[in-house]
Amino acid sequence: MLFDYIVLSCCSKFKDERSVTAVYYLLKGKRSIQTMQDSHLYRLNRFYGIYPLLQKKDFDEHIHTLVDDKLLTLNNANGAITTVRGENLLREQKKFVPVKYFNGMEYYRKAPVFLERLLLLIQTITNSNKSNFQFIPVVDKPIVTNWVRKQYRQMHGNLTVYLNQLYEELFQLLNWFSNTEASIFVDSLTGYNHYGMSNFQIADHYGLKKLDASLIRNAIIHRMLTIISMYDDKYPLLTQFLQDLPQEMEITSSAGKTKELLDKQYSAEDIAVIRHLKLNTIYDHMVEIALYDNHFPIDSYVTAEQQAEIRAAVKNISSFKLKSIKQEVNETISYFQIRLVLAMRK
Amino acid sequence: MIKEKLREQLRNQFQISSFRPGQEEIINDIMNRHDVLGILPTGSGKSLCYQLPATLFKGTTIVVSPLISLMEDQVKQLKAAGFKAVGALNSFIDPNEKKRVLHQLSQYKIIYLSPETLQHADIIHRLKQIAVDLFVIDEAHCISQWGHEFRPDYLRLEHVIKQLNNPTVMALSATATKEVQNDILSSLTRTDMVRHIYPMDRENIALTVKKVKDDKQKQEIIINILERYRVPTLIYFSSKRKTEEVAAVLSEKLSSHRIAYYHGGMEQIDRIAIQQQFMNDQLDVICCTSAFGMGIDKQDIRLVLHYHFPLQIESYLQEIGRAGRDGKSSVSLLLYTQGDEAIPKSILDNELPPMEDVNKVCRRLYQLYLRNQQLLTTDEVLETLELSDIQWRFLYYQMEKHGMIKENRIIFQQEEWEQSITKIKKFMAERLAFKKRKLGEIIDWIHEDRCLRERLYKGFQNGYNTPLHACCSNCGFSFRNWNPEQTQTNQTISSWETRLKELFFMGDHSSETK
Repeated sequence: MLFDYIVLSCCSKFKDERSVTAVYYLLKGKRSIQTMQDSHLYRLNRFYGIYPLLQKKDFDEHIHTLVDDKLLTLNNANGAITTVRGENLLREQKKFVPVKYFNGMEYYRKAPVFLERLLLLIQTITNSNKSNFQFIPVVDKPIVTNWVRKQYRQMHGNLTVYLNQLYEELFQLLNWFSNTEASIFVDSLTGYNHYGMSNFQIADHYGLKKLDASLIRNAIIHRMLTIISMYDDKYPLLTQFLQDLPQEMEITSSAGKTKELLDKQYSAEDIAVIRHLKLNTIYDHMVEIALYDNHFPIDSYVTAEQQAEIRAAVKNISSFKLKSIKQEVNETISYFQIRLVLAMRK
Repeated sequence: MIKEKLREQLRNQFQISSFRPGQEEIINDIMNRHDVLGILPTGSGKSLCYQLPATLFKGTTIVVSPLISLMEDQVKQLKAAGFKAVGALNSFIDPNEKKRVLHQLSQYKIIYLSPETLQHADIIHRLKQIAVDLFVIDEAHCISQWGHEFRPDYLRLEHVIKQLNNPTVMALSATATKEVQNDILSSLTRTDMVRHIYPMDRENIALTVKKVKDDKQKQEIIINILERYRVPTLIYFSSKRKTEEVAAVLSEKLSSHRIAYYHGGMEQIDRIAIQQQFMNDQLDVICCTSAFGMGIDKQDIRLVLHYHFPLQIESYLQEIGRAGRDGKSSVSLLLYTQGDEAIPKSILDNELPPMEDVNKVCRRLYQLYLRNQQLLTTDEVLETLELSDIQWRFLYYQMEKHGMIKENRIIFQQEEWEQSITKIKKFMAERLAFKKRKLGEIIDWIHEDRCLRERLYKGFQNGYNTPLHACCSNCGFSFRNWNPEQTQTNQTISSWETRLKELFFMGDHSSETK
């Protein structure tokens, strides 16, 4: 239900201007300029990257179910339009689904690291407390194990204090959630002689669809991160779990190289030759750079009049569809210029 | 004299009082620098055969292992036993850790590596600088079972051994027919290895096959059996989807059992959770693909079911061999319905690229190459050429072998390409025929009317031990006479608050939390 709700929300925002595949890429958090720009333009940052392991097959199946249930119709270009019934469902269920928990663009990379650190740390301290040093760790990615090792060394000798404090913070934190949500979270924890439930087991135990179980677990983590950041004085230990997290949203390394050359005043054409890449690829990089760099010198590529014309066209047809915008403006204005203006708009 | 020394080392280093059958003979040969092929049943202490010599040799022992989890289990076990000069190098290790291990390489007595890692020039370069005394290939049947298609680096081990100045070689396996044994020897070009072959039949496992009319009946039978027996159980499937489907059906019908599924497509964190829950007796039944089992050492698995049968007898033996490691009476049951052959046949057909596509793929690759001046990345190849990962790996190795690819660059010569492509296609036809023959063997075994035990072990050894309990379904096995000890559980449902408290051992502090 949560999954369906989110898909319908995205389709409702996209209208028929994007294909359903764009929804799939958005939920997976695809690192492409198109997906990130869509996320900003259509105000869907909340859902960006909230389901990194979503399978295309599962997604397609759900789209078909939504169509069969007459909540969604597909047009020829594989664009999806929510039906009246679909819109009603979005209104009616608004208060029952925890979509507000999500903050995808902010947490899509932080959430998994936070969760894995927490899971492994709990497993480590509960086992150490029972002097069992031969457990099989639930997470064995070095980025997580190294961090836990560091924490463990620092708390050594104060294990019981740490254990009590972490329990207390988790208990307080979970009181922000419904009983079912708290229960799902506790069931996924691993301790001494006890291994937490997998996704399938959670879904089975709580009568959820598999896709929903994954999303709900992730929603809980996103909300936890929001609460911890807001009240960091109340959650000193959990706040530490948020330190040295991977940086959100850097431009791709290839776009980074293009930026270096741009900064040295090379033209897009020069860069294409230097890097043995197509000019269009360099344009993609520049749109990507513009999206994250508020100081991008857009005026060098699009005159003030052209920018105004493009903005007026967007307003006029109330659409972000490139083709429609292109038809509205003077034919000397290129797709690249339109994309740059949209990127700066955010 | 040397015997005394070995026994002393066994006591001092490993805290074991005496050798198990086969170990001493194999170790003796290794200490005398003879190459050894050792076929010993699972649970017979294969690892000791190289670990003990490794502690006595001056130089380093290299162990080639097929699975990262297997390597890590071995390293963890050795370290837990106080043997610290041991490390592993594989593709999952982070660059800093790799650098550290490579830097201190000569301090390690045992290094575990995957065959793929042994293809890295920097690693070979470092290994050449240290003294390698012993080169071990664990699970050596992988050379034959996997080498020809998905893991061609197994076939490149011979070259690696030469580069390392020909150390003593030991190949170990628990399941290898005479044919596979010969394949191992010839792929290593060491035909004069001393063979130590020990019987691998499991006298405490009853072998049973049941033919049923359809899928539904398979599920009914499983439900019936599990209703009677709550014992640690594995159910093997050929398809990931099916593990999930049947696990859901069983959970619904057997509400008192704790059931889960396991396959390679799951997130790592879920896979570890399921595996450890099963080890920890938090689960009764696992519906799994062949991805489950290698490297897990649970002593009391009582029941191994096959919902689908595997591609060859070797895999079947490995899978049922996970039952009854503690020596107690255990049962394997293979469920067969007419038409089941279609699944393994289609798996075989998809393992290799379609014969008619080979020319097309080579031509496309050449065109792409002309345009880009570099070989595409794996992902790009898979997408543009519509090949699976396995198919591409096979083709890549074959093209490399025939000089069509060198150091990731395409070497194009029209005439030679045509000849090579013909050779590749001939080889593909041979491999397919071989695999179909292996598949035929297990299908024939399923349809055997006489003793299943006799027929099963025929290709592997002469004769077998008298079964301790029941023999097989053709020799009068009946579930009615099987009474294993059942798992006892006390499941209580409590609130999340209580569960969180228990997890953190807060039992007595409840009053403080408000």
